[in-house]
Parts: sequence; C-alpha cells; structure tokens
Amino acid sequence: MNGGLRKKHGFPAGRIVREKPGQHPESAEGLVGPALQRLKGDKLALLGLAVIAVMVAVGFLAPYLAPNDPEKVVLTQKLAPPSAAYPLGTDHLGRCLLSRLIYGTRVSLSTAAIALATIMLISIPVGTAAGYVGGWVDNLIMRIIDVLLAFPGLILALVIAGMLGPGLLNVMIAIASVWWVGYARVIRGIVLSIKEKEFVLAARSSGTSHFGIIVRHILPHVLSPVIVLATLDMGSLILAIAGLSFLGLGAQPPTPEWGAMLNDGRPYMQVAPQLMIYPGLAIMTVVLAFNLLGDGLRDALDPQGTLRR
Amino acid sequence: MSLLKVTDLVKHYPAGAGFFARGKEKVRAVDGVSFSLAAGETLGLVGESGCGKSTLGRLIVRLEEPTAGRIFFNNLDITALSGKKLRELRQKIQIIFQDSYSSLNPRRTVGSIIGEPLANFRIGTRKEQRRRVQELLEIVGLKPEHVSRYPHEFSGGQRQRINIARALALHPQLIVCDEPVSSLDVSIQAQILNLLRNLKTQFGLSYLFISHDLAAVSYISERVAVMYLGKIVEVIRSQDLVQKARHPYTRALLAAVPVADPRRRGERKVIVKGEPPDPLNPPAGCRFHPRCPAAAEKCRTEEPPLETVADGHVVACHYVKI
Repeated sequence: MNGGLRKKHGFPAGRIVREKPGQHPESAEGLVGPALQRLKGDKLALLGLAVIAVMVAVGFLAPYLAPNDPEKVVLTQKLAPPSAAYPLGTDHLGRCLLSRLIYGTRVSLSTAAIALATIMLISIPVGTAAGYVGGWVDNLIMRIIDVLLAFPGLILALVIAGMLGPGLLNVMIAIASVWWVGYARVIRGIVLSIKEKEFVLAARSSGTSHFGIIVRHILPHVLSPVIVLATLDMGSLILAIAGLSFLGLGAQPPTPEWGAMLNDGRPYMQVAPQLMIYPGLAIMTVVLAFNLLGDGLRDALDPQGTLRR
Repeated sequence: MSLLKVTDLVKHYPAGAGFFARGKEKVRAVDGVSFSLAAGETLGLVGESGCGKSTLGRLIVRLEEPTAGRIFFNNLDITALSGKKLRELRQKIQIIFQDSYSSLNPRRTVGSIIGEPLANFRIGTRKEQRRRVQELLEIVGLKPEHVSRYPHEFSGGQRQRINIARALALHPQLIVCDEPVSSLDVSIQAQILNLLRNLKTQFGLSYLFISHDLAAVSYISERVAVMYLGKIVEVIRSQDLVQKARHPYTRALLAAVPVADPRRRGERKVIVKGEPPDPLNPPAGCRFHPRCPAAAEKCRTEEPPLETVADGHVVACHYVKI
C-alpha cells in the first residue's frame, strides 16, 4: 500500500513546509500577529515595556553609566548630600548611591530572571507530565503541589533560604522551589484542555509519538498564557527577592542590591531618607513596569480572559 | 473476508470518579457490540447523541482502550497492540472528526498538518513529502498553494477537506468518519459526501461512517447499523432501509426524517417520546422498551439477541420475530 514514496528511509521527521513570516501578517503563527496589533494600541503596556527596556539597558551598561565604583568605601564622604561627584549622595559607608542603584538594577533583574528560568525549567516538565500522563502521576504531583500551596509562599521561601544560609544563589533556589507550583498548576490545566482537542487525537491516530505531540501540538499552546503569567509575576518575584535581601537572607554586603540597600539605609532614615527613597522608587518602578506590561500582554494574548484573576 | 471485525466490544467509563466512589458506577458507553466490515464496504452507524457511536469509532482507531471484547483488522487481533505494532497499524486506520476546526492545530500550516503523518513514518524525502502534500490537496479539491496557509483562513468545508487529506496521506485501508459532515451547511455536506464517495472508489477505501443523519448515512453506505444506548439493534442494507427496517427504533428514526411535503404532515406516526435512558443505569430487558410503542411483557425482562431475519439483515427485537 505504501509504495511509491516509501523508497528512501532515514530522513529526519520534521516540517516540510517552511513558514514564511510576513506573508500573512494577520496570521503569523496564527495568533501572534493580531496580538501584537492589540499590544501596539495599549499605551500603558508600551510604557511598561519602555521602562523595562531602559532598566535592562542600564543593567547591561552599568560599568559605563555608573559614575563611581559601587563598592568603594570612602569613609570621609559618608552620608554626603548630592554633589557633582556623587549625584545622589552617598550611603553610610561613603559609597556612591547612584552607582549602587545602577549596579543594583543588574543584580535585581538578573536574579529575578534566573529564578524565573529555574521556575520554568521545573514547572513546564512537571505540569506537562501531570496533565499529559494523568492517572496516579497526576495525582501524586497535584497532591505535592497542594501541600506546597497550603503554606504561604514567601514564608516557606524564608524558611528554605534560612536553612540554606544567606546568599543570592540560595534566595533564588528558595524562591524557585516554592514558586513553581502555581505555574505547574496552570500548565497542567492548559495541557489537560489541549490534550482532549481533536487535533491531538488526530495526531495520535496518524502515528505521532507522545514526545512529538507534546512538543509540536501541546507546548506551543502552553507558551502564550505562561508568558503572560510570567510577565505579571516578574514584579512580585523582584519584590520577593528584594524582600528576602532586606531581611538579610539575600545579597550580602557589599553587593549592591535594592532590598539590601533599603536595609542598609534603615538606621539613617531620619538623617538621610534618600538612602531608602531611591532604592524604594527603583523597586516600585520596575514592579509597576512589569505589571503594566503583563496586563497589556494578557489583554493582547488572551482576549477571552481565561487568565483573569 | 472481512477487513474489520468487532466482537462483543465493551467500553465502560467510571462515573463520578473519585477516591470514595471508586468502581461504583459505570457509564456503559459501548456495551457488547459485534459487527464486521468487508474490504471496500461502507458501513453506516446511526444513533442519537450519547448512544456510544463516537466511542465505538475511537475504540476501533485505538484512541480509547476497550474494557472487553476484541477488534480484528485483516484477521489480526489489534485489541491490545502497543508500541511499534500499534504505530504500524496507525498507517492503516485513520479517523476524521466532526469538528473540522478543533481537529486542525491552529498554529500549524496546512502543509505541516497534512505532512505530519508522512514525517512520522519518514515516507520519502522532504521534497517528496512536500510534493505528496500538494498532490493530496489537489485530490481533495484544494489548491497546492494552500500549503503555507493556516487553518483559520479556510471555511468549514475546506477544513474538512484538509482533514480528509491528512487521513489519506498514509494510504489507509479503513477510515472512520466520525460525523464528518454534521457541522457543515447542507450544500457543503453534499460536496463532502460526494468527495468521500469518489475517494473510496479511487483508493479502494472502506469507511465506518458515523452519523445521526439517516439520509447522509444511507446515501454513502452499503449497510447501516443502528445503535441504541451502547448496543447495535439492527443492521440492514441501505437500499432496504426505508422499506424493510423492522426494529421499532429504526422505524422511529425513519419517521423522524422530515418530509418536504406539508400535505403529508399527518403521516408521521411512530414518534419516540422522552429522553434516552441513563447509560449509567440502562433499563432491564430490551433497552428500548421504556420508549417503545410495541413493548410487551417479555421486553421488560429479557434482552433480545441480534438475530438474522433476512440476508444481510439482523435485528434485536422480540416483537418483530413474532
């Protein structure tokens, strides 16, 4: 029956037809095109995106932008008011506040990004396995998730970070180990709904392997809601990391980190409030920017509002 | 020789699944179905919603695991095939679903959708696969340049053509058509039915054609099997359907087909009343007796077996034998 085309073997399975981006602008990847259009009309989301872009640029270009070495202690200059050499003044050890803020951007954003990547690395396989395999695997994973969700996340992270000892790496581990559960749940739900779609059944009946079904048919549908969730969550993630650092569990001196800077400035709040105002403003700006972008992305990628909380 | 033979096939779903309700109640979706399908034949399968006809179709394509019973394909028992052998079987049996939109992944191009089975079995080089996809598109009445489009750019009828093309890609012997035209406009229905008919002669296919539409089923099939609540109650040749169908349920289905003549309005007699019974808890005896106009005492206690009443005509009813 399968004569004719079956002569040659050993060719890699894969797409035969290359997609031509731009040929059907309204349909690029089916959904992304119109989503981008919607995002373009959302000024607040674009503002958020712009702020984040600036912050990321600042983080990358920190060595070129910072006027001073952020860790250089000049005790003669401690708690100095703004001047030409120190545009925002100095902290209690005479370190340049602006430089520390600039380097802090780098630390805060990269810590949050790494934590997020770790969260994805855990939650996508776990959530997909629970949803796709089902049965006792699903039951086991969901019960573990239920147990973890029964504790307040930040407190649990605090406990884990406390047990592991202070340090940025440990904070990332602590955050990731409690934060993945929410994502795994959402991903499981999406996988469950996609798994029963007829195109998945059709793929199964035409011989696609489980791996092929997950990679080609299920994960692409998981992606856009997860991007929305992750963007909305970046703000809280940054806040959580700053919070743990504020409590002394995260960044250790002399590393410039916003949460730790808040803590350092706390005893001098009355004489030099700028020590707390500027890091606080930085945190607020980033969190706000991520929330604005996340809201916009949600409206653009998920117009039906399935993720609305 | 029969291409497909099904004996006593059963599929029960646990109902109210949960820790405390384990194994208590079952939905008897398919409850002891036997039939056979000859090579080159089309068997129509009709029944109302929820009678288990789609489940039966999915069991045959091995998308669901049967609870009991056997499925033979080319005299090979495929009930418990798994792994490599199941994958080999996948080339021979394909399925077309009712919902032409949800059976196409919205994020993939038509070319990659139709080419997926070819890629799965590594049939030919990419170039050959591409050519084959274009050929398939032409076979089902679409244009080769449609390969790079996405499903949402097509109408319902065109999408169903894409589904048919995918099902044809591997040169299957049997295609299970699970209500392939039910969600389409009447004019498009006819086009798709004619396409399926032509493809059958062109490629020597066999169909299991599932539908709730008697007209469509008798148009495309040689024989019609009528299903009620998980069981086949009558199998009859299509040309005999209107004249010789004997099971009261089949008669009721026939009577429910609208007649395009208002003057004959009064002639509709056998109308089934009420809802189909709960498949969790089917009635004892003949499953149709609560709604049957001819039910007698025997029907309430004893389940009628399928019996041959004429060549190619089997009925499960106490009443028609008397």
